[in-house]
Amino acid sequence: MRAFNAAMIVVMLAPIVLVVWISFTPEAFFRVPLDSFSLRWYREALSYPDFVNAFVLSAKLAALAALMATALSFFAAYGLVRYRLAGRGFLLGFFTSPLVVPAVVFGIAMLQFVNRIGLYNDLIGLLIAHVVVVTPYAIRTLHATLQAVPEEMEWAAMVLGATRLRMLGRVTVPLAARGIVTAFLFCFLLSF
Amino acid sequence: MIAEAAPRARSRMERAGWLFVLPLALVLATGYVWPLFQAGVNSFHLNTPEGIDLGHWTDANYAKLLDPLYQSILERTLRISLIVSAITAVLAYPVAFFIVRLKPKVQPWLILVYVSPWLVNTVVKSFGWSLLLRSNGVINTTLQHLGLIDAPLHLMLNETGVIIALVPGHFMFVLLPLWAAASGLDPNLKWAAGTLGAPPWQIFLRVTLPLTLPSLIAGLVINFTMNMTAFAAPAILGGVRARTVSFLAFQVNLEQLNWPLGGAIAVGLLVFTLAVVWSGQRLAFLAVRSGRTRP
Repeated sequence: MRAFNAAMIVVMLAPIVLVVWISFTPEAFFRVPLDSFSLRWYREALSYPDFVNAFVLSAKLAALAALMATALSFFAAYGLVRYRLAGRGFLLGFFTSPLVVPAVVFGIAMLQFVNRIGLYNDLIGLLIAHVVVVTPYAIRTLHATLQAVPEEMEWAAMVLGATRLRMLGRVTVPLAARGIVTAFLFCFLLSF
Repeated sequence: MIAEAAPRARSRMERAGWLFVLPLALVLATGYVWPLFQAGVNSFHLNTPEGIDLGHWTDANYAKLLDPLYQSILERTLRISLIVSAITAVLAYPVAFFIVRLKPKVQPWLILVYVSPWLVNTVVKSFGWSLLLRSNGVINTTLQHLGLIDAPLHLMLNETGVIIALVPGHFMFVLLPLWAAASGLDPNLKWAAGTLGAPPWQIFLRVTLPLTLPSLIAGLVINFTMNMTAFAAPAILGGVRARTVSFLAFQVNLEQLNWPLGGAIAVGLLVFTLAVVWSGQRLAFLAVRSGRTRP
C-alpha cells in the first residue's frame, strides 16, 4: 500500500520535476543522464525578447482578467445573496456554466466571434475570453463568502446614514476581504 | 398602510438587486452566449471560397461528421477517455483509502501532491511526459541501460502516450470526491461486516463500494468529459497519428479555416459533454436513492 502510493506520487510529479531539472542543464539537446548544472537557458530566455514580451503580456492579461472577473463577480454575488431576485438559482447556474463548456468548444466559438467583430490578435478579445473562463471560480468563492458576511453589520452602517455604496466599501468589502483575495488569486493563476 | 407599502418596497429592492447582477450578466451574454450561438449558426451554413454562405441553411456539416474518418477519430477519443477513466477509478480507491488513514495534518499535503498536475500548465506537463516517454527519453534509456529491452518501446506519438499523460493529469477529479466520501465513512460499518464473517473483498463490494458509488460517479463524469476535450496532451503526445476530436477541431478551424464544419464539431462536442454530465447526475442520484432504500 505504501509502495503503491509512493509510485503514484512519483508518476504525479515526475514530468514536472523533469522539466524543472532539464532547464538547469547546459546541453542544447536532451540527453540522459542529466548530471551537469547550468543557468545558461535562464540567461538565454531572459535575453530573448519574444519570451520576455509574452511573459509580460501573460502577466498583464491575467491581472486584468482576474481584476475584472473578481469585481464583476463581487457585485453579482452581492445581488444574488442580498436580494430576493426572481430566478436567483438560474442566474447562479448561468454564471457557473462556463465550467461545463469544454475549453475547445468555447475557444472555437470565441475564435469565430473575435474574427467577425475584428478583434483578432487584440487584447480585448483575449481579455473577455479569460474573464468568461475564470468567472465560475470567482462567483462560487464570493457567493459563499458573502453568505457568511452578517447582514446586520450592513444594516447598522445604513442606519447610521451610510449610502449603500459607502457601506459596501467600508463594511462589506473589508469583511469579505479574505474571500475577495482568494477569488482574485484563483482567477489570476487559472488565467496565467 | 404597512401591508400596502411592503410589496412596493420589495419590488424597488429587487430592481436595485438587478443593478448588481446586470454587469456580469451583460459581459457573459456578449462574451460567452453570443459567441457560442454564433458558432452554432455558422455550423448550419456552407463554407465557400468567398466566405460563409449565410443565405442558405444546410445540415451538410453535420452529415460530414458521419464520415468514416471523423467517426474513427471520435471512436479513438471515446476509447482513450474510457480507458483513462477506468484506470483512474481503479487507482483512486487505494490512494483515497491510504490518505484517509493518515494523520489529519498530513492529509492536505498529500492531496496537494495529487492536485499539483492540475495546477501546472498542461503544455509544460505534456512536454515533461514527452521527455520521459520519447525513444531516447528517461524511461527507454533506463530500460535499455538495464538490459531489459533491446529496442526502445513506442510510448508516445500513439494512444499509449496520451493515456499515460491523461491519467495523472485528471486524477484529482475522481480522487477528491472519493477522498471526501471515504472520510465520511463510518468505520464501524466495516467492523460490523467483518464480525459477521465477510472477507475483505466482500466488505469492499457490499459495504464500501455502494456507499462511495455516488461520489465515484460524480468524479468519473468530470474526469471523462475532461478526457474527451483535452487538447495539449493529445496534441503533443498523440500527434497526427493519434488525433482526437479536439485536435481535429483545431485543425479544421485554424488550418483549413472551415468555420462552419469547425462549428459543427464544437456543437457536437458540447451536446455530447452536456449529455454525459446530465446522465451522470441522474446515475449518481439513482445510486444515492437505491443506497438509501436497500434493506
